[in-house]
Amino acid sequence: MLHLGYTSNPRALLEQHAAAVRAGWHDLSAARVAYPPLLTGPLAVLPAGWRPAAQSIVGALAAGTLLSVYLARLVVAQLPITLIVLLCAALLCNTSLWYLGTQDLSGITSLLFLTLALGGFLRFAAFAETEGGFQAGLFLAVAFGCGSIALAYALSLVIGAPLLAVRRFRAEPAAILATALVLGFPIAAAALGWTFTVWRLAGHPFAWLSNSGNGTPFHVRSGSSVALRDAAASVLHAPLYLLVAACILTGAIGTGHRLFVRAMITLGFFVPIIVLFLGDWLGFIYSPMTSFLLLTLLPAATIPARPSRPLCLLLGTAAVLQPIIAIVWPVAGAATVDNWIRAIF
Amino acid sequence: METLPYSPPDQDVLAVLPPSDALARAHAEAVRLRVPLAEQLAAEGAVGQEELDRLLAGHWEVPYITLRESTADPVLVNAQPAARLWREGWIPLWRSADGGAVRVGFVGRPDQERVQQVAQVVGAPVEAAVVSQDAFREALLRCHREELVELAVSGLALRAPLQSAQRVLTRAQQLLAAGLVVLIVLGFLADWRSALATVFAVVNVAFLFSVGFKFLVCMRGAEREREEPISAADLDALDEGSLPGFTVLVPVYREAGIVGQLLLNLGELDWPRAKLEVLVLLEEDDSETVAAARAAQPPAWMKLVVVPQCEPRTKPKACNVGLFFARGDYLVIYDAEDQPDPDQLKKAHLAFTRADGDTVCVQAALNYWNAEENALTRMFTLEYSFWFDYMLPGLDDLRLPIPLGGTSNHFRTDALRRLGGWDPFNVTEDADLGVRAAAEGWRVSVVGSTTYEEANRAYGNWIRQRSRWVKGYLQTLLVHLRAPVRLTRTIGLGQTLAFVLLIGGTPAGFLAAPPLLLLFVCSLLVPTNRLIEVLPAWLLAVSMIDLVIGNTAMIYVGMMGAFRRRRYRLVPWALLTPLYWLLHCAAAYKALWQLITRPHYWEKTTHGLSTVSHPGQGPDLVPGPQPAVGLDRG
Repeated sequence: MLHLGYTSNPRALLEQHAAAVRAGWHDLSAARVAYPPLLTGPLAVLPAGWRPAAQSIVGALAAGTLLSVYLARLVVAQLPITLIVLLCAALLCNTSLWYLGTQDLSGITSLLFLTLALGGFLRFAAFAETEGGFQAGLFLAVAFGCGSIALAYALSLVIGAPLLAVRRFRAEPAAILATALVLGFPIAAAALGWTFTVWRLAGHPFAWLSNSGNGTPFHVRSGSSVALRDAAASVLHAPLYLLVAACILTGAIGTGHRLFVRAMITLGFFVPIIVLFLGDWLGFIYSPMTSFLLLTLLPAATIPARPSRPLCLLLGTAAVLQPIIAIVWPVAGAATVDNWIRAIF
Repeated sequence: METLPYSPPDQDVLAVLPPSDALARAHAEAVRLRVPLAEQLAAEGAVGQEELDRLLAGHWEVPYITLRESTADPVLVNAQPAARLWREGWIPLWRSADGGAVRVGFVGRPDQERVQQVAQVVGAPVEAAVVSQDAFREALLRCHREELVELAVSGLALRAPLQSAQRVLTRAQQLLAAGLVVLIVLGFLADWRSALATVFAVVNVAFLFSVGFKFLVCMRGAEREREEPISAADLDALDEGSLPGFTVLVPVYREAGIVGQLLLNLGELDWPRAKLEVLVLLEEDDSETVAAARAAQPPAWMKLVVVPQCEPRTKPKACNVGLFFARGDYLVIYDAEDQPDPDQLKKAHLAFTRADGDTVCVQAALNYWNAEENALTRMFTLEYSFWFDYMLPGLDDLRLPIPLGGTSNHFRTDALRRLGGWDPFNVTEDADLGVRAAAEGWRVSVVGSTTYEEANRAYGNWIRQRSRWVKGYLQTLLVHLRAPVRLTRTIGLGQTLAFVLLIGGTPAGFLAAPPLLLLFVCSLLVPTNRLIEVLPAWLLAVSMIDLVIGNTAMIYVGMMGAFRRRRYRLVPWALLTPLYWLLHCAAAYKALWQLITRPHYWEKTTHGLSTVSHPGQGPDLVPGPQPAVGLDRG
């Protein structure tokens, strides 16, 4: 029998903040707990009894949308049906997506907007298509309204862009700063704007960081070795990610580039790992389930259209391995998920 | 060109000119282009207009008359409407000594049918003579000066008084404005806190709507980036013989130093010269520029038209005079310092052929060749890039009213005449015309071509120019909201709202920015718990969020506009947009003051101030994705 009503820490925190905003809106003191505003704001408007259901519904919608965007990307790349099924299974046959979708609204919505941003990012970085830049920049800013992990996403894209399109940027070095601004300005403005607003209204500019339950900012929480271990573990749990990186480096993906170019692109591909490591080390943000999903979504955005048969075989094999590894060697944070599963069943 | 019914037949021209290779080539070209040989020869400069007319007159056995100042009898000339004379190509000169016949100068061959028709009109026998077209035009300007001035100045006001900015406010608008002021004053007297909160709330909402609207329109415009509606292959496939005539109007005032550059810039235009007519519109009292223009010895396809001196002394008045004489099926305005893309006229033609029949105008993009001269030119370039590369395409895509730019607007000439030409009392006659076109059910679209201009580099000059633009927007708003119900019924609620947000929202935003800025400064200096005693908490929160969102949005579209033009070094300058807006605020308040005190005064912008050597053109719009480098999917 299913036992409904399990409430994770992120869910509870969001509901607490929504209640505090509703209670304190008249004197603006609630601004210090109003982060993330795109989630807390609407929840605060709802009666208390409706909030759990609202979180569940929105979380489910976000997870479903994320999955459909992922699937659409695979279909547009004209991958064989079997490979599409295996890649979807790699995403679905892991409790991370289910847990985030039901228990961490901030995590799933920020990830969704990152996924939407990625589509524009690739067109922008590789083809200098400004509409793609608009899309990437704006979705990253919206993602910030859902969770501070968006800052890490944005940093990854800003650093990664000149590496991923190294040939274009070598020819036009002035484009590097311009690209960084287009990608990063909206989220930077959102973060600074929110910091300023909270400072003026509630007197605590960075309260939104600590009150979001992400730990004390700029405080080395876990130590570099621990953060490094966690980052490495995240990568090893994502054989798809490793495979795609190897294919880029060897030229199996993106043929015709010199070794230097391939190395730069591979480095760009690994930037999210570096950023997640730094984030964890600084105590800024860390969610093992989020990083696992991130490392599953990123390869899908990079797989070329109509890949060769050998590449399809390799990708399929990695897609099968991924859930197997997760079962044999649980993702960090599995204890939280286990509690959730036990509570439900 | 509109082939004049009186163009001399080719066989007559061939009969009077000695055979030569040049003549044969000109004849072949005329056949290819499907233009009269006389016009082809004139365009090539192979034979002077007067020289050819003299020879033809001899061939037709009629005298040739050189029109001079005192040649034509004004009484006789004024007895006929100027439009008829220009259209039919004849001018009554004087009565014969016995007072019976009338000597009439004809442009082109005075065949029997023409002579009989004119005789019926003048009511007397006609003694035909031949006159040259340029002299004919100058004689009309002299003799029909009053009529042409009346047409240029009051034509729109007489035809459609409600559409003219000659009157700033109608009685109803005056009452409404007075009522609003009284309401606000009473509100403050009754409960100043509530009144202040209401005013700030309204300002915030209006500001957010205006910025949000522009941002969404830009996003829509960005979606068109991947289109290249007119390709090089399309241009190559054009049959020049099927091209219609094109008139280019170039109003020039106190710009003697730019005339030489003007000739160079327009000389680059890719359009058959026999089908191109450039009318340089000079002001009668601007003797220096008139002398410089004459000294430059323009080619035969470029005519100097001296506009009679009269008030208001504005560019649209001069353009209305030019419109009267325009013979092209299409018409475009360029400023003296403009550098249009050489293929712009052909692109405009293709845009028209593909557009709906109700498209009256296509607007090309404007940008600057001295973009990086100083901070002001950089900010100006950012602004224009976002406006013309995103905003106008977005408005076009959404089929919303498009306020035209000052130049590079290509019209169907007949439709422009039906619209009534430009409003000489509106100091942004271009924006007004775009809105008027929409109000009368016409469409304005955009064409993917760029004209490069000189960006204003001097702050005082910039303020003067911008205050005129803001004043013009206010005039346009007031004119077209005189009958809001009728406007809504004609163009629909969506278009009406878009017009209000764009034309009204722009100056309103600049006027509203200082109070919002003041609130922001207060929020920095005064503790929030004290501010809440004056303004409600929710209003404070909304104002701050509004400030962040509004500034972020406008900075971002500025970045995108520069990026699209591949002007990467300009992108970081977009961060200074809020400071640039302060200049707009200063200009807006000056505009508001002038709207009250000198509504029709045209603040002339001084050109030729750039210290950058006149380069080739700037970066083009990139038509779609570049070949992938690095990471690619294919």
